[in-house]
Amino acid sequence: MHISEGIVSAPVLVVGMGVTVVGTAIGLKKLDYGRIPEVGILSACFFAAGLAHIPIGPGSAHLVLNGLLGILLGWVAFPALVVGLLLQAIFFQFGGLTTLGINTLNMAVPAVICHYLYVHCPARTATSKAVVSFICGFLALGMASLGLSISLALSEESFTTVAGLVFLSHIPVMILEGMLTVFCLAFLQKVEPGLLPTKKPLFVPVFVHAFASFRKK
Amino acid sequence: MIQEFFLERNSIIHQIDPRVRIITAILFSFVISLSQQIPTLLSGFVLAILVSAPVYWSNRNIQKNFFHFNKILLLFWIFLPLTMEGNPIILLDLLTVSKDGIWLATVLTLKMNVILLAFTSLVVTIPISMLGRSLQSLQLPEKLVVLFLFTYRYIFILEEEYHTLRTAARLRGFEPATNLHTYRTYANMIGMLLVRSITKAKQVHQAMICRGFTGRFHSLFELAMKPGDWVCLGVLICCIAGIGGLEWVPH
Repeated sequence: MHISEGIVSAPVLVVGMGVTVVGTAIGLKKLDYGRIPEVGILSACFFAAGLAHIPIGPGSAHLVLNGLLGILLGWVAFPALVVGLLLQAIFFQFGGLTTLGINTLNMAVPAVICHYLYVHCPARTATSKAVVSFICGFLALGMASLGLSISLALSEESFTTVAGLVFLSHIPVMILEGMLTVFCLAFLQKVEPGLLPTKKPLFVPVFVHAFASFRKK
Repeated sequence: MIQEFFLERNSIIHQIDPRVRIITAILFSFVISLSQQIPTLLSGFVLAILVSAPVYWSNRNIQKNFFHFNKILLLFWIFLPLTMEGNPIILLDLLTVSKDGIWLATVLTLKMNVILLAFTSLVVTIPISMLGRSLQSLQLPEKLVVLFLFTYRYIFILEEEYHTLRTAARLRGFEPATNLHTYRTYANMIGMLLVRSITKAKQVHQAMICRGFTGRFHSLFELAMKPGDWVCLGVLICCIAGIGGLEWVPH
């Protein structure tokens, strides 16, 4: 899922860095210090998910959890993924300094899209909610691997075949990730609904809700 | 879960100011990853070897890590020569091995190894707490640095909680198999892991607030540029500029 260093071309790197800087700035603006434990744990989860990884050509496949992160965090997924990716680069040598931007772009943009998809979807029943969360988990990784393939293909024409293979090889992981998102969100709904996004947290920080639910206890 | 064997040895590299190491590593990685010419890559390789020799020298774990990384690169050698078109050297009925593909695989292997050597010996040798402090003094946003340091701390909380939950599942006789029950159990475990870790992380955070945490980390690491660090910075930047300049020398 990570693009290694030295593979992609300058324009791709620059676009990745630009989008990542803007996204991270927005995310940091929305991030309150009170939410840091929650966000930190989620980026630690993302970091750990990378441990079970299978190399595929110039990338690798593993659980990414960007859908789950995106649904729960929204724009804050940007800083969370930057931090997670930097730690992965340091400890596992996945990705690296130059590709931090493009890797964050590929994973965080789908995460943010899925956040809005999940929050604004008028799902009421448990079944429809499950369907929506499956779609979000599936699509987040789907779009991320599509982004990965596109950035490979744009950098070097001869990577087109490899890029296609990389995308295809991620399909089983996408299904797995969709299922995981369904069960995980259903579990959180039962146990700690304060963590789930509601329609408002676009403007009201989630931690206010968390604090309110904490007070009720 | 994570090994920090790059911190073990106290080499010359470990004594350079971390900010110098971060800046030069970033510059060097960009120059190398964008270069196309062989002289640039080869001189970059020489510099990378010079920088990484003190760290890599006689450290088994680090060398193992390096070989493991290169094992992954072997896949390039399978994919690229077979999937690329142009200048076929071996023509079988179905397979063509292209000369351009082999060339590209060589260049990429060289690039990735050069960047890996520089990155591991310059940046990975910085302890995380010191890295956080350096990023702070390099004017990165305060919240990002705090998030970075907390995430590192929380990895260990996560690991601890994971072991607890796994033991609990085992004690109840849970055996993973390929069925929905297993997936649901794992997903619930991840959910529970999140809930428990976030509760614990919040306790850490609340304890910090009780001790007067206002969002800024005051590290005990004093960062001061010594004259030697300035010399290192100057020399390394000149070398990197020279390597980058080779890109425009006509051959």
